Amino acid sequence: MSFDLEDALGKLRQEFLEGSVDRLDQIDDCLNRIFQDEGSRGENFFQMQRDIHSLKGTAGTYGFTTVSTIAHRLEDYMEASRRLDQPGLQDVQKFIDIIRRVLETGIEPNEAERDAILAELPSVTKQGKTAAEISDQSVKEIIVLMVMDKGLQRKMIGTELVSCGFSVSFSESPVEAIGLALRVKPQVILSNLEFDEMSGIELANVFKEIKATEEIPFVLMTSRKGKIPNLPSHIYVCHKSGDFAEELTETLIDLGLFGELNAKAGTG
Amino acid sequence: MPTVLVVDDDIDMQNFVSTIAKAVGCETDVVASGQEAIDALTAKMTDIAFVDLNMPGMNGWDTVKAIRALPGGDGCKIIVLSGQNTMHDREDAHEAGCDRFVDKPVTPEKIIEVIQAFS
Repeated sequence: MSFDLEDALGKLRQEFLEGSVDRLDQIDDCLNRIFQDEGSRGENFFQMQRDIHSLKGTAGTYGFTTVSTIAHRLEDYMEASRRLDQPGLQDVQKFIDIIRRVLETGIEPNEAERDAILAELPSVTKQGKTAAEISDQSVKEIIVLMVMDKGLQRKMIGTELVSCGFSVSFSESPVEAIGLALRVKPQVILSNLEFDEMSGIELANVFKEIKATEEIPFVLMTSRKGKIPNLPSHIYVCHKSGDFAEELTETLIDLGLFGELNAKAGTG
Repeated sequence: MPTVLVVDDDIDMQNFVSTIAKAVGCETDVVASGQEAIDALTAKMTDIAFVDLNMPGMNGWDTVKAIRALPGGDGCKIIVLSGQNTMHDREDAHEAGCDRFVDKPVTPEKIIEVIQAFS
């Protein structure tokens, strides 16, 4: 790449940083209007979602992958919430404030800083409280990465997991899920079996090959009845049937991510 | 070098893609909506169009279809640039007539590679 291009991109990066202040102000304005019940709630939400989505793509393009990840988590938060009430809106404000703080430094955080920042992010809980607000109950945030197409099924499973106290991050494709898992560091991955790009089993095998993800339990969700041929032993399976909720719950308990074991894990 | 039109409502992305295209010698123009793209390409068809999917008003898929329907539009290489990257989004974009689908975030090297591939 020529020196001139590097120079031009450096200037554009600076312009992006300056422009992002306006974009964040715009999101703040939308949030304030929703808080104060001014104008159309739907239109304000739509505008806010557009700005957040745009920030996710542009920040990553300019090298701010942490901001891109926070924006992705914010989209997940908004999708997993049944309806954003006042505490939920305050959480959205926290996400925006954290994005603003990172961009104000003008520097992409290193890995340790990024982990600390991501740990600060609010998560949806049963009562609509953040994990921090109920820390007296020693609840440890457990992040579930769901790899599924958008749709009612994903929304239902995601919402149920959130109502049980998990934080949920969504990915629509296996390829995207690989990068996302490295950034959000989930404690468990739930994935569909069927995708066009690669199967859920192939995805599990990719995660097994990556040092940072090899220990993350992988749960395959499938509507296929009976045993799946050539299923590697490190993959858990939950069948999408009438007993799906029970099967998933049992699997999460077995993994120590739910129930009494979860409470023990959270006391550290 | 080819002529390039960047269609994106995000000014940061407009600047990013157009700066790289100019740096490799392309004559480059930018517009912020599908309708503006149609107006610009009707006046002067370009060799390459980078089209965002998620735009207000006419979305990216409809913009791609509209470009293809313009006189000379079938010769334009259309690259969809988007953060919406499910298989459905890709299939819909290809069905609409795009030549290539590039995920956001995107690197300068990727933009250059695409331009060179279609030059």
